[in-house]
Amino acid sequence: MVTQRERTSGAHVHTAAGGRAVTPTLKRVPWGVIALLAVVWALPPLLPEGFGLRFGRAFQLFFTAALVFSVAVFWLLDQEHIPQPKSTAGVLGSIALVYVATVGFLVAVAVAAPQFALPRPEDEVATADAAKRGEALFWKPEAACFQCHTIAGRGGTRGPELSHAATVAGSRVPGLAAEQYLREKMKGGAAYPFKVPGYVPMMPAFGQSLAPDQIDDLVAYLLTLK
Amino acid sequence: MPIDIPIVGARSAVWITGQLHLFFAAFILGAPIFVVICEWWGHRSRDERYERLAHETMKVVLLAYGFTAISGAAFGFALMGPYSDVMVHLFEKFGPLFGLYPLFFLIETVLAYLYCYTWGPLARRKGLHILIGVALNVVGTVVMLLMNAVGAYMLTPPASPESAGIWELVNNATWSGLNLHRFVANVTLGGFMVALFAAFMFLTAKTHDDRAFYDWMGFTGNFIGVATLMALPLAGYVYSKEIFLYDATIATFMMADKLSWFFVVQGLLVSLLFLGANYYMWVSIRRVTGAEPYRAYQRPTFTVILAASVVWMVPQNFLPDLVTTAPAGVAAQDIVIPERAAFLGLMMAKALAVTAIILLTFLTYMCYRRAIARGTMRWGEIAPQAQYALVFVPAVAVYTMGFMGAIRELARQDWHVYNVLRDTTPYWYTTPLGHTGVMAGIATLVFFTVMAFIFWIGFKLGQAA
Ligand code: HEC
Repeated sequence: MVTQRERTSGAHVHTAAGGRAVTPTLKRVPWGVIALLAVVWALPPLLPEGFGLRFGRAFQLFFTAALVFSVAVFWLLDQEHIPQPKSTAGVLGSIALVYVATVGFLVAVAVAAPQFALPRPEDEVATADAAKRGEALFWKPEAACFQCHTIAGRGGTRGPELSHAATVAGSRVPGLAAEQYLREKMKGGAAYPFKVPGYVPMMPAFGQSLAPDQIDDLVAYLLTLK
Repeated sequence: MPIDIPIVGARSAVWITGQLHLFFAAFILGAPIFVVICEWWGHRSRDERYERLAHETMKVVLLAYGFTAISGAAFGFALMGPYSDVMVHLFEKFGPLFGLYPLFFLIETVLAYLYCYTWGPLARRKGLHILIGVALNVVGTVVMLLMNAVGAYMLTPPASPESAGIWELVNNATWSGLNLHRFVANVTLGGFMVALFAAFMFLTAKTHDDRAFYDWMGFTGNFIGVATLMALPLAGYVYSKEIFLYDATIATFMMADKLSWFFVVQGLLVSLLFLGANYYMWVSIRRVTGAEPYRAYQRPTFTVILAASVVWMVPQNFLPDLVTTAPAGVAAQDIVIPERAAFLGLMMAKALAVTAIILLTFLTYMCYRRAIARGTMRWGEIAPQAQYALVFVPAVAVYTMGFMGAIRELARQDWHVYNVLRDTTPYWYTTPLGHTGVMAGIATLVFFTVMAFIFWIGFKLGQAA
């Protein structure tokens, strides 16, 4: 907290010394920040494995960056009167500097973040194996199944995991074989009468957007997932 | 692709020219709204400063018209060769609209000139002059609505575009969301740009009177900017809800798949905007005599805003999309959020964090109002770093517009028109985050370089004359 004394001394700098800067030192030891840093770095390894709060290295770095940034913000807030350039050219230069630094920082963040690889068109599969074609289709944006479904650890979680689709599908609707169920479910999406409980029914109906042989391929693929 | 554009490539050419066109368009649409409100308010309150602010800003806006047209033409040329098939499709669908567009743009330009140059002659007939300003804004908004229809259509065309009537094409699933979001954001940009001009003028002012005026102008610009900024997350929510209802796979592509990290960066950008605007308010409140007691709230306020920003940004994992697996040597638990903290990565936590930031910004503003009402404002005695905050915020705002605009375009994935016209050019793929950031950065810096020139002519030289 800013004390009364600091406040008046700040006002003093402002009025009497005009444009002189307050020396850029921290006025007090930032105990709070040190404590938070300790929490970020020292605590996770101490937690038991299964506790579910062990933040990994990437997160530790993320939180540290956020803390460093916060310290900078508070430091800036503590300043009473940062000096400014006197000439017009100087002002223009300083503004240009702010722009280059700000945009540079934002671009650097974008570049440092995780990047996905560009697709390679030669990955197209031309194979006589329906299940292989179905697998490729499953991971392509065209069908976008992977956006909602996980298979063997990859994919999204809005829909149920399909790693054992063939096994599960056989017991979904009484009297319907796995193959029939999978085909009808895919065609109807969320509009199909049977819905896996516990999920928001948002699966698109693929009966329109995918060709019948594409659906056949997908069914063939899912049937291999025992 | 019939022909490509050498060296830069067709996609980059369209990207930069289109983005610049949109930046200028946003400025010439947003600033006049701000200007007319100021003129009206000045007329009502008999406060001369509003009048001066409105007139000085309008001169800059008028100069920006030329650059809006030039960048628009460059954008059109870039589209013509490489993307002629897309243009043919859009002309087929929206024929009449492409006729109305230049017509309204013409009316808008005429009104803008009229509004600016009748300022003196109509000084005694303020009502009429303000009416011209309002007409200018109405026509300007219509121009925006027309082109928004085309942009929104490309992402969310109606179910069967072949048989759809023109109104159905125009009033597609995300037209109103895009309209709302762009309209509010344009006013925000207008306010922040005015604050930027004010900051420059303040920092170079020689007399105390000028400093007092430009201090006030920066305050007013920032006020409009922040007031509308607070509505933007909600407008963004409405817009993304429309996208979600239209096709859940687009929403997944954005929130969980390839664009998920783009939204982490968005959290950073919007947090920076709020931090900058709040920093300005907390530093500038110091020039209000009698406001000292309020400074006790400064630290807690920033602690909450910073903590909320971290919650907003914290990612669910450090994977760029749904199909990439952890690189060799990195364990999954190192880059995936731990189970018990997983709620931090969900929409609910993010929404709460945004609400907290907006709420505190609002409270800060209320503190400020109170302080002004009770104490005395010493206009012109603001610390320079507050002016640099007004310089920083527009830089982030414009970059954010470029970046979020890219997200909107990339959401179409490998389609020119989603599910209707496939992008079969060599540039059909989604650009990774780094490339997108570089493009938004280039567009931002070019925009401000041109703006510096415009501003120099309109504000600095205009004053000397
Ligand atoms: C937008 C998200 C989404 C997409 C995309 C999606 N699904 Fe689904 N899917 C779901 C949800 C949610 C459920 C569970 C609710 C229900 O049954 O409707 C589901 C259920 C299923 C089921 C039933 C699982 C079971 O255990 O009975 C199958 C099979 C399935 N999806 C296959 C697919 C295939 C194949 C694709 C791609 C062509 C696909 N899904 C694309 C969301 C999606």
